[in-house]
Amino acid sequence: MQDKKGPYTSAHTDLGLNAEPDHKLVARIAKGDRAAFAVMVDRHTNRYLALAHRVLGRRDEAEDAVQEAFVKFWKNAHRYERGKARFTTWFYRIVVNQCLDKKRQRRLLTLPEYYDAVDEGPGPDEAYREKQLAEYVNDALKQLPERQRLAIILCYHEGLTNKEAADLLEVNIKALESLLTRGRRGLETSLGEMGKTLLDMMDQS
Amino acid sequence: MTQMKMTFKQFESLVVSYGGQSERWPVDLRKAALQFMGENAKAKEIAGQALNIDRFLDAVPVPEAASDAFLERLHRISSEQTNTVPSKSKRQNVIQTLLDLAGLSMPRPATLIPQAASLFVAGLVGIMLGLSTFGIPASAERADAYAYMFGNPSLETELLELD
Repeated sequence: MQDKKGPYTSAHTDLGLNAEPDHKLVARIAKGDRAAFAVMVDRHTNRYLALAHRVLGRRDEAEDAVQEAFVKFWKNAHRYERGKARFTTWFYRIVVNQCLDKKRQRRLLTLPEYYDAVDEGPGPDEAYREKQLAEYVNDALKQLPERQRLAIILCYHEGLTNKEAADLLEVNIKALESLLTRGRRGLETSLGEMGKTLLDMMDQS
Repeated sequence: MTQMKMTFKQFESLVVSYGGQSERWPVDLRKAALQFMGENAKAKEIAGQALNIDRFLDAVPVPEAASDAFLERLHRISSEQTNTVPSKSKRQNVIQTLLDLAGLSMPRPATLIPQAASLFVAGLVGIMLGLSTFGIPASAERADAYAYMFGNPSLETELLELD
């Protein structure tokens, strides 16, 4: 019997539940099974937190977006239809929508967009150059239009297939490829000579 | 299955969309693209150029994993939020249990529309065929003949003469 109060972690669950596939756990969650929810949280949080962090560029907002997505999942698990999409694709859409909502709120509040501060302390040259390059690329990604950036994050960083990414963005594959092409060209233009210089320096080190 | 032959334009379009790493190319095009790149030096060159953008994207660090405090926040959701389980009738519950046992999902009304439409069309065609085969006899004389035949099957030859 599950206790009514207090966090329910997957440590409470038996090994059998941990081995169950997503769709079976979702069916349990739809009936209010907290242990199944705990397993899904442990199984998927890192993946979606990374996605939200990449889309939003801020850790605090990424955590809020993922938390809100999991609240929606807990409340609406009965709406998941196994035949229509894999759980991961279905939940991608919830997380991406939460992230876009956060961005809209940010625009209304005119909060600045920034990437989490990188430790500026002195370190080995190579590590410093890597940080510098990461900052350049993050800045360049930030300058891309929202959908081009999302297309790159979903296909490149998240490793979704073109079909999955196109479904998430609600476009056909041709349109997705157009977003990717324009995004990559935009990135190349933004990074310009400085980016190439940093890559050359990394090659030499 | 026959292997699709790729053109330079198709290859270029593939590389500017998905980058220079072949493992990121769509599976259905990968084999043809690799073959094309193997035979075409210019294709190899543009794939190499695309790798520079890939390297920029690889430079973005993987975000840190969730902290224990954050995971605890997520675990609390199920104890703090109400899980709105929709109420189902007893009949629906029985059907759902049977479907669960069979590893199937409950069909939604919208998904049944094509089947219903097919049944309707099939029914309509059946009725039309039926009417054309057993049509109302064209004249009173033929109607009498049909009635006579069904009453006396042995007289079928007489009916054939009428036709």
